[in-house]
Amino acid sequence: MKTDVAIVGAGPAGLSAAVFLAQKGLGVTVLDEYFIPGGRLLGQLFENPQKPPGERLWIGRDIAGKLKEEACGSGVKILTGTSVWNIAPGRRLYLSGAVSGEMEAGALLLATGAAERAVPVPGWTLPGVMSVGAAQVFTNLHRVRPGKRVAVVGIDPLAISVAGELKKAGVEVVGIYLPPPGVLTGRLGMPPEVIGSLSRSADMSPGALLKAAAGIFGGRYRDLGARLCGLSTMKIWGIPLHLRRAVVRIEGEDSVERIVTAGVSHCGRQQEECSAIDVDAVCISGGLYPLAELASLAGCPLVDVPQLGGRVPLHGPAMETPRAGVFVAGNITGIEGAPVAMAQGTLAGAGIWSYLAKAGKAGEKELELAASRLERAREEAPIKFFQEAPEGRKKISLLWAGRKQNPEGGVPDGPQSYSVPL
Amino acid sequence: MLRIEGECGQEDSRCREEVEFVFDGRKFKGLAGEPIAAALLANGVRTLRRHEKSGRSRGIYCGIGHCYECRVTVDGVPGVRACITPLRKDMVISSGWERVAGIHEN
Ligand SMILES: Cc1cc2nc3c(=O)[nH]c(=O)nc-3n(C[C@H](O)[C@H](O)[C@H](O)COP(=O)(O)OP(=O)(O)OC[C@H]3O[C@@H](n4cnc5c(N)ncnc54)[C@H](O)[C@@H]3O)c2cc1C
Ligand code: FES
Repeated sequence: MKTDVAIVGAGPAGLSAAVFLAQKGLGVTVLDEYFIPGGRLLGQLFENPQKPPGERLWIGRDIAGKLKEEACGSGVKILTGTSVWNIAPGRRLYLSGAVSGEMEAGALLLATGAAERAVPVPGWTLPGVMSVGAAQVFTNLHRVRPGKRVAVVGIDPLAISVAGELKKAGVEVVGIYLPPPGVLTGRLGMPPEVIGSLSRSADMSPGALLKAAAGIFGGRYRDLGARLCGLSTMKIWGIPLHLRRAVVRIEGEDSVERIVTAGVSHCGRQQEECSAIDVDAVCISGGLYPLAELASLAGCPLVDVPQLGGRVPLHGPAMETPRAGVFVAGNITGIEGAPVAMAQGTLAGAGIWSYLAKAGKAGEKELELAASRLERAREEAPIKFFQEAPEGRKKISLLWAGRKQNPEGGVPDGPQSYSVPL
Repeated sequence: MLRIEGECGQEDSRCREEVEFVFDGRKFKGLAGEPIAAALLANGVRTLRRHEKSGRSRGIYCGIGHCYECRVTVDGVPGVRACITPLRKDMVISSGWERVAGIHEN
């Protein structure tokens, strides 16, 4: 199989790039292992009070549907149920699943998105325990509730957002708790860390969730010094948010029946256990990280940038990597919301078009336009996952600029692999 | 009732075809095209398989095909992920436990 452009990932980034490129007349194939195109957009359903009435509801499934139609209407081929498991030099992709075999591409876009970090909680293999991502997809996309009475473990913007979504869908959310303290959960289990990062989100983010949170975290709690005394439970949309209480065990015979919680000291030490709380499902959130394995297989250098959620492929202003014809877009470059991923996809589309069609001045113009749209999407983002992301992106662009001037130094890189004509 | 009715736009559950399927010998109803795991959850079934050694029950975890916790046997094919496999009419699904445990009921 041959294609002008192969795109791995039919999320908002991959689909936006596909639409751009197909409209420029290129042959585009999008590959995704899920059975519906849309990526993490599919499960998203929330309100953004910053938008004018009528545009407030963000229904990811519908946006994904529109993107898919636009792509198909422009001639994009979408292969669902198909995993890419390896990439060899020369942009050769190895596929398995609904379509298997090899595919060779003139240019390659890696838009594989993000994955959830696992947080082991004793009892977490019981049926009824699932990741917050699974809860989101089952509730908002498939329209089946994870349970009648649900506990959420993990305190971060996604967990709080999903707790709200569950409540909206008619689930009784008994509370949002810390994960069990200990080496495995690290900073996620430390009350000051959690409160600090949440309050920074509340400060900067105008979004739905954070609007509610801002009221709570504003003022005297803004300072992370968090005079924690007294601050232990608050309510978000009527859901108890337990800043000093962890779920230490999930119990049940054949599926989830109850959780056992315990107090957590200021420095993250477990205190006495409390009586069990009956629930029939538990949703665990451990945070998101960029899914960058394929980039690494494709020979792209990865850089560890905690401010972006983990290891991300080194990339330039047109989303190009040091590997000729290999581009990246979306959450693989750092955890951000869907509108940002879409804008990054279009930017990568412009980069790929410039590269393949040698589009020269016209290409530069598209790149400029796409870059300014991306900036706007970042300013308007309803959810900010990592507050220090701008610093992280600065680090990437410094490294990128550095390696251009001094291709030998700093980041590992193959000889002559830099050939993006931009 | 875990299924959410109404007001869900495009793919409103009410607009999808209801189909019958079998799980571990019992008949259930679900919606064509939804993941097997969603159809089972809507019927209150959370246990999809049992751990090969301990026999302890397992269900979905990641919901998007990454963790392989939700493996079931579909129409004789083992190792199928229930969270990403769309339900079709008259599917015969099993947790595969009988085989593992060496129990042959029929
Ligand atoms: C659980 C979860 C919940 C989220 N909730 C929100 C939210 O509520 N609001 C928000 O703004 N953002 C949310 N996000 C962030 C989300 O990642 C972005 O909103 C956006 O979807 C990122 O777009 P993307 O195109 O980069 O990746 P994704 O939307 O993640 O799409 C990537 C696609 O690539 C496919 N893929 C990955 N690897 C392969 C492979 N090897 N072969 C084939 N296909 C592959 C995946 O199946 C997936 O469909 C969430 C992320 C996660 C993981
Ligand atoms: S639940 Fe993880 S693969 Fe199905």
